Amino acid sequence: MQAVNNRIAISLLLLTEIYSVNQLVKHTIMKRNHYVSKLIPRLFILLLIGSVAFGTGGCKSKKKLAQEQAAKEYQEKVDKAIAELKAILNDDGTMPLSEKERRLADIKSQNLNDPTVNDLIRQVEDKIAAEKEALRLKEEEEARKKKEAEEEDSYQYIDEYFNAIATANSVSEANAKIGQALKLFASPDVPVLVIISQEGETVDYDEPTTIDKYLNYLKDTKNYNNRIQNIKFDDYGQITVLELIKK
Amino acid sequence: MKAKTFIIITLLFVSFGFESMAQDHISPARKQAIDSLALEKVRDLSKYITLIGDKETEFSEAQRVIDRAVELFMEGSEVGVSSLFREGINYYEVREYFERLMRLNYSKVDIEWYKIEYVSDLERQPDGTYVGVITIFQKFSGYDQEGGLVYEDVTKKDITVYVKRKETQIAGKLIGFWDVLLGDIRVKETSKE
Amino acid sequence: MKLNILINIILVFIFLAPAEGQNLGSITGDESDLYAQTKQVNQFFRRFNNEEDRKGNRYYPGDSLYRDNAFRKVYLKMLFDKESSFIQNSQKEEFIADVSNTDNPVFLDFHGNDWFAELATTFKYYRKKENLILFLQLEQERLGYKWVITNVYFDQFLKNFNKGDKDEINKKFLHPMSHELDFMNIHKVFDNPRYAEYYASKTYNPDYRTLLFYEVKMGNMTFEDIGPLKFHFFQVDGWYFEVNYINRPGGNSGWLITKLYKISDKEKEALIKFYLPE
Repeated sequence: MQAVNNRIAISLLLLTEIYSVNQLVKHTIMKRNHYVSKLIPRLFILLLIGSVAFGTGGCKSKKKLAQEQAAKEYQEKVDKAIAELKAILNDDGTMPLSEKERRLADIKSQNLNDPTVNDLIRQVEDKIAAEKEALRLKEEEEARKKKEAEEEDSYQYIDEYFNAIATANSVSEANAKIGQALKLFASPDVPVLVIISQEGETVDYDEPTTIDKYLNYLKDTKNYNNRIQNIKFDDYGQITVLELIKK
Repeated sequence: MKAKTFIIITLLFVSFGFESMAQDHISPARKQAIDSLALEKVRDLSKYITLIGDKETEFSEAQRVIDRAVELFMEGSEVGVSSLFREGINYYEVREYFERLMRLNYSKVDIEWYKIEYVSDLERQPDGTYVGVITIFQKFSGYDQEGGLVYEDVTKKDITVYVKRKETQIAGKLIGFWDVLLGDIRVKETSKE
Repeated sequence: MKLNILINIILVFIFLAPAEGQNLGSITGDESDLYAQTKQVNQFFRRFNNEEDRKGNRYYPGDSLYRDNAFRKVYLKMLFDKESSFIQNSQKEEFIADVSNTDNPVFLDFHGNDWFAELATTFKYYRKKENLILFLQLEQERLGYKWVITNVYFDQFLKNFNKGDKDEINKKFLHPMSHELDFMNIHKVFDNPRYAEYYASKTYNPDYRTLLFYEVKMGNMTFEDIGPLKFHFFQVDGWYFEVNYINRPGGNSGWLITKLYKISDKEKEALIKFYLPE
């Protein structure tokens, strides 16, 4: 009796599955829905007959079926996880980082414990970590550039002095501008550093000079081909170190 | 105040003889930056020479510019001048050369520079300092009171450039810089058409 | 072959055409001659090896045209003094083909040994103006290189070490039993100074540099001036060439090859010995 009940239960299970498939299809193809719903009672009868007629199969085949089913489901999940992980690995940057992380979390939560999947998970984790680092660096670089641009804007008044001295029409005009510019500095001996090249950690400077000499240099050579890189001020707002960089 | 700061800065200029050993392999990009820096010093020199030679430049200004020009040079540098029609070379200390240029007896002087600048490789000498030669060409014209051209020549100037990596501490930061100093200059008159 | 000629013609045009984009500023003269001129010995090396473009901008190893043989052929032609009577055209062609051979190209090496500078100088020697020639070579020391004097050529020195009369020379020795007589015969060495050096061991060679330094130290000789400079190159196997500064208008000027000879290894050895005595 137990066996019969089981059989009926399985049949009902299958039926519900068919029905749920039907539910799914219903949303898309209405005509088919009608056809399938008509089919259900017939199928139900067929199954019932089938289950009675071949009921002598016993408990063993039922278990096997369930196991096979479970194994099949597991394999499907593994295949799906592998496909998704591979897709993430092959992604050229189209998929947003957050999406990659979400998918990875989904797969990890399934605890599939398949060696291939585990290996791919590690690879994807590395990839995500690398992408995160690159993103962080990019953001940092952007922030630095933004800050530089802001600083450049805020230092524009100093640049203007330098340009005015370099393009002065006469010595007296240049001297007057030098006098004005010097007031921005803590003393005429404030060091002026000029970066000539930057390569990774290595920064090469020209020989350090003083602001007084530098301003006169601009007057004599009419050569201002630098831009302001960094400025240090004292408590009175006067410049104590000026760092320039070759354009 | 100035002298004090100068002394402090001078004291801080610590040049490491052995440090230069680490500079054996300089990438082409860095080399180019050093070349440009050396070239800039030579261009500065040519601008100073134009100012010193210009009769419009006031005496005090010319003196100041001479000081600045001399600062570009390594101590004891000489200018060796030869002309087409005289044998031998006349030697001048750089300051003497600039002062002679300032005092030249023409009513008007035109000093022009050809655009061409030739930069040699930088070769290392035994003490590790790099040495190179930059060649530039100058056209000199001297006029009398009536504005007539009395003297004209085109000279090739081969200028020695010394480049040494040094380090100094400024505002608590270690600065690695290339000390570029000009050395002897060979002035050769070029053949006319 | 035809293609090669065509490429060469095109290259010649590229090189001889004045550099484009030249802003002459206030200068009225044409600067193309100055560009074409081999302005430094350093440029002679770079052109010989095709290590710079026609404006003098350096090529670095890895650049596509660095040491490019097709371009070298053009540069090499430019490096010869066209007015020199010491250069045969056929030899010049052979030399160019030799050094720009694709399979085995020959490049000049600044730090390679086989090249010498020859500097004419004037000294006052016992108050008389004398011409001396100094030979110099690059030598490595500590972190870099320096030019060092390898030999001196001065006829007054040479004259005193001239080969004497063969018969006389053959008589100039101290007999093998001289020691038994406490070398009482040694005065013979110094009686006739003309033959003094023949009493020295056969490895003896006069070192003219020592004589020069000694005379200068003794105050008998003082440096006056420098004269013309030239260079001797032995870096190309089977060839010798001389490089001089040609100061004349036009592009074929500056440091150029003024002499070119084919030499055997033996001749090369003998010549080098003259610049760099053992």
